[in-house]
Amino acid sequence: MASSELPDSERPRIKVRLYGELAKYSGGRGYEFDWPHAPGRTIQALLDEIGIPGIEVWMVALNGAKVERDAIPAAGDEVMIFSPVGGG
Amino acid sequence: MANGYWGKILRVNLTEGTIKVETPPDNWYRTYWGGRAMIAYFLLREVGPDVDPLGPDNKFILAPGVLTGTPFAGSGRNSFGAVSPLTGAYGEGEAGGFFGAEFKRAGFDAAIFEGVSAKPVYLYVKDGEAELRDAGQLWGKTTGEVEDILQEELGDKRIRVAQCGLAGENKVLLSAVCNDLSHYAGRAGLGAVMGSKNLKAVVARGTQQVPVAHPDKLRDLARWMVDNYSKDAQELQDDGTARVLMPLHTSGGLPTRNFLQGHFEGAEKISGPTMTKTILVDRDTCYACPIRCKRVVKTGPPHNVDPRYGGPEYETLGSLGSVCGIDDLDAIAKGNEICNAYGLDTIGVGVTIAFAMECFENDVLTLDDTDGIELRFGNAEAMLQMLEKVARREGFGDVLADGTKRAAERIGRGAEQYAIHVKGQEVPMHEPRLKHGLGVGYALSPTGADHCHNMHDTAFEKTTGTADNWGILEPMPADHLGPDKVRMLKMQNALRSANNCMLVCQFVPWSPRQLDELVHAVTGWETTQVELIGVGNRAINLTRLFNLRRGFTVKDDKLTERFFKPFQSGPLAGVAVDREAHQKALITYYRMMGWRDDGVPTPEALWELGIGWAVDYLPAAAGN
Repeated sequence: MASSELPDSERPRIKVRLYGELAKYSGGRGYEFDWPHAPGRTIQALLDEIGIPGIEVWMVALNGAKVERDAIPAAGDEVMIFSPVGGG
Repeated sequence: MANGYWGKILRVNLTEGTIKVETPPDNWYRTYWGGRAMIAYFLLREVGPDVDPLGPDNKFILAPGVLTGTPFAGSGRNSFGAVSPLTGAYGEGEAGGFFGAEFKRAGFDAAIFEGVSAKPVYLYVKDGEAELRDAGQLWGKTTGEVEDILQEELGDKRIRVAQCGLAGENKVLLSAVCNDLSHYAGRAGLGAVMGSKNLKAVVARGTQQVPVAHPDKLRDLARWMVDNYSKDAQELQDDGTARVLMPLHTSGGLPTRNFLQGHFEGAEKISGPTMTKTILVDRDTCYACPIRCKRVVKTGPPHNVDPRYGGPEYETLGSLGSVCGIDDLDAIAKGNEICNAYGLDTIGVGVTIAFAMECFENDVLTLDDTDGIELRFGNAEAMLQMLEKVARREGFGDVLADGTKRAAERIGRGAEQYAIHVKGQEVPMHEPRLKHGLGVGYALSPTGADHCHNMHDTAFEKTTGTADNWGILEPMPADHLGPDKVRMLKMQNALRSANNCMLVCQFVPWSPRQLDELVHAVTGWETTQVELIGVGNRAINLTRLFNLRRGFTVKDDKLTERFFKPFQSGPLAGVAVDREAHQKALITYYRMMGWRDDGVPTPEALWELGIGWAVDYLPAAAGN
């Protein structure tokens, strides 16, 4: 059975970390949470799945390295999603 | 009746020990609002071009704005200004906390300090009264000790204190002015100006309500922010300004090892979320603000960081952390405590220590120069030792106490190439090779490199955000430097300059439309956003004229050479600021401002802003 056909609770996970004001789209999960892994799913598809509007995303990273949204996370990977930053 | 101000400005002559109250007319307040524009007005008219910044003829000006001390989020700010001893140019810094609001509520709109007191004094203002008092007992003490002594002496725990710290007493050019122990007007070396005048502190106690024209409107606006800030500022509350550290690192724009790199392998260890999970014990705030973005941290041994001094902002995590190659969060927090207890600018002193570290790594400095301290990137103990030495001007600390530019000149041996400053002021924690418009803003800033009256390009890459208030409708890449980017820079500079005149916090997510409504609600003035931008540009032009008179020219609108060289590694490997595009952007800015190509405002530009009187202050060569 492919992992994507397993119930969510049994599927391998990826780690999602949200920065900026994106946690409001996490459905109460906060800034960091696990999410079911799906083979071949791009980060853009992941954004759509979680419900994060693309226009509010400035940059995404995979395992700490900046990538484009068509990058595909593997099971156990960490995806960072950032909203635009100004000063600090 | 005036609203948003009292019509009273204190004129304190420290040489004579006298205090007078001046009462400018209503239209003067309507033109300048407070803060930056007010300071620039007085400095341009009253401080000559040859005045020694640490001599008796410099003036130290404390200026809240028309919004300061009124009850809404972001109104707890005030400016301090003087000729900067660090740059020799216009100097100004802003700070939050409670002091500014307390000063305003004591019944005054500003205080101008002239001359030099024969002995240490402090100014005590309380509900319409002002007096100079002996400060001998405060000299040499930490900022915390000073607050304790003053509370005891005045028998009032509710006083609020602005003070210069030990570093200011020692005329360290990287010294700050401290509000309430943990809020700092850090830049421009203003603590040293206080120290040079033997002015230890300003103490305020005010119980008066600042008069407000439309209290119901103001209440509605204030309530709106309480109900809505979480949409745009929840992470600011949760993780403080440190929230930007990880995104900047990941994008390649986190200043690291004296700006040699833009990404830091230790970033996660010093990030906002890490601080929240480890050493954060509380969140502090400023007057009337529900966001509570200020950090309060505490650590155990070996550093035993005292929570009384707050906790590090993003700028400090960068300047005492990544810029020095240090990933020890406890040590950075200790460095923050030391800076706050002595009144040091964490940006200035951190970048200056990083400069010395790069000199040391390249054998320009040796142990013989550094009092035996291994000043290498990553050496947290060395950073902490140097902070103590700089504040006291001890040993090699005396060299670094004057900032990177002067230190490099004193050291020689090619050290200049490692000095990361603009106009003599150290570059803050925002990287021009990521934010290319900000690099132009660094070059233009009247105070030297500054991030608080500048544009942050990354905020406008995906959406235009509040820029659509100015009709800027298309997002722009952060590395773009065309005339359309300069247009955005011009509007952002003016907006942020206006913020520093009305005095409102840049982090509270008020839109320009709401800022205009706040000014109207408080003052009753029939302002528009045109006027908001107008007051911002008045301040920019007055500070420009001030610097021109002090001999600054377009040659000083110069970005640090390092930023024209590409990063060797990281997400921005190979990226540099395009010199030609950068130079072109400067000229485009001058022209958009109605300035000549030599950076001198035209008389028409000044008249257009309603400050035609300032034509008399144009350089003689401007043909007036």
